[in-house]
Amino acid sequence: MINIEKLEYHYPHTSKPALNSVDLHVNKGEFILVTGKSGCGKSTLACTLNGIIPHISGGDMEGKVVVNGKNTKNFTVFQMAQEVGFIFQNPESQFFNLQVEDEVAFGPENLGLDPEEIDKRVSKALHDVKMTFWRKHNVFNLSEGQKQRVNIAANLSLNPELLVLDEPTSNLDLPGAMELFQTLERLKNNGKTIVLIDHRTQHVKKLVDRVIIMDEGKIIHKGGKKLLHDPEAMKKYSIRNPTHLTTMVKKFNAYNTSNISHNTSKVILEVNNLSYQYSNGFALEDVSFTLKKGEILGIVGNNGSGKTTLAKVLAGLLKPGKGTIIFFPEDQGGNKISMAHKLGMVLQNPDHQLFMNKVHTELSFGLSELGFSLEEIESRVEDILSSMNLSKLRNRHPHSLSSGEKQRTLISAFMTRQPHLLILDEPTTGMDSYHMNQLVGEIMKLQGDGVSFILISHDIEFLLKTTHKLIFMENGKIIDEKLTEECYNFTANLKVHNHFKV
Amino acid sequence: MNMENAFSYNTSYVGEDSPVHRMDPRIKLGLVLGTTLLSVFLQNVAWLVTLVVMLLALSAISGTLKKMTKFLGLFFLFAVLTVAIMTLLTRNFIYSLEYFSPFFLRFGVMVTAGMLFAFTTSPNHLSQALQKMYFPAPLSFTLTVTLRYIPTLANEAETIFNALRLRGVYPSNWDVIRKPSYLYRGMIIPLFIRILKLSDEIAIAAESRAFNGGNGRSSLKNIKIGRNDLFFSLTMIMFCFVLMVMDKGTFSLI
Repeated sequence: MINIEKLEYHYPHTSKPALNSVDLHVNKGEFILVTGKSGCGKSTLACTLNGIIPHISGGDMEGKVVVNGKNTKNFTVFQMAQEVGFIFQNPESQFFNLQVEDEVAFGPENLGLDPEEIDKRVSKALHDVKMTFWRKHNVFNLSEGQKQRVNIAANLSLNPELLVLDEPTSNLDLPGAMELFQTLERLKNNGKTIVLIDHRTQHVKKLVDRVIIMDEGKIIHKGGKKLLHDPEAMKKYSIRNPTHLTTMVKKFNAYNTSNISHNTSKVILEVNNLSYQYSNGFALEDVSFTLKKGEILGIVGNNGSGKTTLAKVLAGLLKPGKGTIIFFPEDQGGNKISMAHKLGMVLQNPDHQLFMNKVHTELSFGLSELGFSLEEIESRVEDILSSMNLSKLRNRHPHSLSSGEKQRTLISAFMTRQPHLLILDEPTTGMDSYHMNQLVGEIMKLQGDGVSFILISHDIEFLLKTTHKLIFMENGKIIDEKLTEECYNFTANLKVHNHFKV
Repeated sequence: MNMENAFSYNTSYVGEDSPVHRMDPRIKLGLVLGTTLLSVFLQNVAWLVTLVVMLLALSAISGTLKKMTKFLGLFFLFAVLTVAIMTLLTRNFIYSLEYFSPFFLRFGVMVTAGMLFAFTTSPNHLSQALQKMYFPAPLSFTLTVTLRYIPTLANEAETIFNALRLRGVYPSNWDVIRKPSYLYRGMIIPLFIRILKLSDEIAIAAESRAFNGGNGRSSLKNIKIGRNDLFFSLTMIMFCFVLMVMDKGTFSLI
């Protein structure tokens, strides 16, 4: 099905090869997992399979990529579309239509097929992903998992033999990811060849035939699914593997909990009966909790359960309909502290939040608005640059940094305001285990200095490693609250909460 | 500021079904152009009001009136304010009303007809209609995809604005005049970066699904001018003709 020989590729204006001497042979009907650290070249490899590289990305490509008998050098991306279905990370940015059936029909329409044939293909593709019921629905009213299934159907309607999925689960909650893998299992049974690019491996163990591990543009390991059960290999190649989580987490949290004494720490945030309603009817209802100094709180819940809305209300981006948010309830004068000192919030996508052209000016952006003098700004920025390990990057353009570095810059930008609370919204999306552990280290360091955290995440490994307490949300309500240590035995405990069914 | 409300996916195309939704987009386009032109010719305020009421009735039939009221309310407020200011300046309410009402009514016809079209026509139908009207394929596709991505861009802009607020910068109009860099650094640059990235993603996604500039495309649902469309067109033409005759004739309410 796929035959790659001596593939070498350089992105335009770079001397370091993004792919180096890659040889790969994939048989028809195989399910291949390509994994490795961020930036190891796995997405680049995927882009060579339908000709995005070299036809759209440019750059220099040596060697040969043949898919279903077609050499990608001789066929453009749209000519390869009937051979390769390509599913990207974010389903929403790939929707051209509003109705499910129109979206699925988009591909066959481009081929100029007659309406009866298009209708037949749409029906079959929707049947294959079990979305027939939703045919007339608006794509934007579907859940994230359903959107990704529509996306697969939109590719299946072109009848490709090969499906390439580039980190398709990174925006999905657990039920969404499970739906997706059930769909992939059906497609595999129907004889499709599937190449999955991912660094989360927990869901694919059952499906995968072969595992390919990449590093620095090279394939460094090829093996069967046994590789996914080898903790040493997982650790060595920075691959996420929560099967061995419990012992790891226990070690981590022994250090973590020693830092905070639950009984004596001061309460810094008290939320009472908070409610908020959107115009579309979705509401946050009666949310109450407290947070102590140096405490790390995790908020868990499926997409659309109200986690981000809660964070936005706390950060003052949305005005609560009812209820109170009190900072420093024990301290009468505490409420005079300005909002910027109380909390900072890092949103999911760093692209929306970086405004300046150098890291050190990014850290000082907006500080003058808070009434700091120039000397004070200068000294604060220097302190944070060195403590957050950003000194070497001080003159780099923030948009040129890696995603982990961008996030560190953003956290640092809030640290210059010396906040008491930092809220991070889905901070580990698309992160490999190396970068995730680095972020865990940063959070622990700041927590040691007395900063409290609210972490919104689907990432169980990350949450178990960092948090003291977990809040479970569903339909805008808190349905449970637990100390993280109570969740260690997650097979027993977490069955109760769908979110943690690993 | 919640732009999501103003530009949600549902407001740009209310995905419901009604006789107006099912109408051929070419007929609806004709309605927009026809009523706009007619509004320029009509002199009498009463007939302009009738035209607006007719368009509102069509919106009510299509079930989009509720969504429209938000925009029309703003428009109405603007009209009332303008008349009020003029009244303060001239101290003559009747004169201000007479002076501005034809202008705002014509504008109202255009806005209502335009919204009726936008709220009842799916991007897919619009693209087909344009194709049938011999619009070059790459242009019609770009136009309809742009329409589809307006809500996405509004969301992006809102997120960037939120990120600015989180950094303690609340760019009010005065701030923007005082420090233009807030607008430039805070909104324009991040928005451009997002637009470039999104455009790239969209282009690659389209080509990966066999899109080749829109040439030789077929369609699952072919739009066709049917009996209902013809009936509607004839009714509309007659209605507009009657309005024109009344306007030119001796009937005059004011």
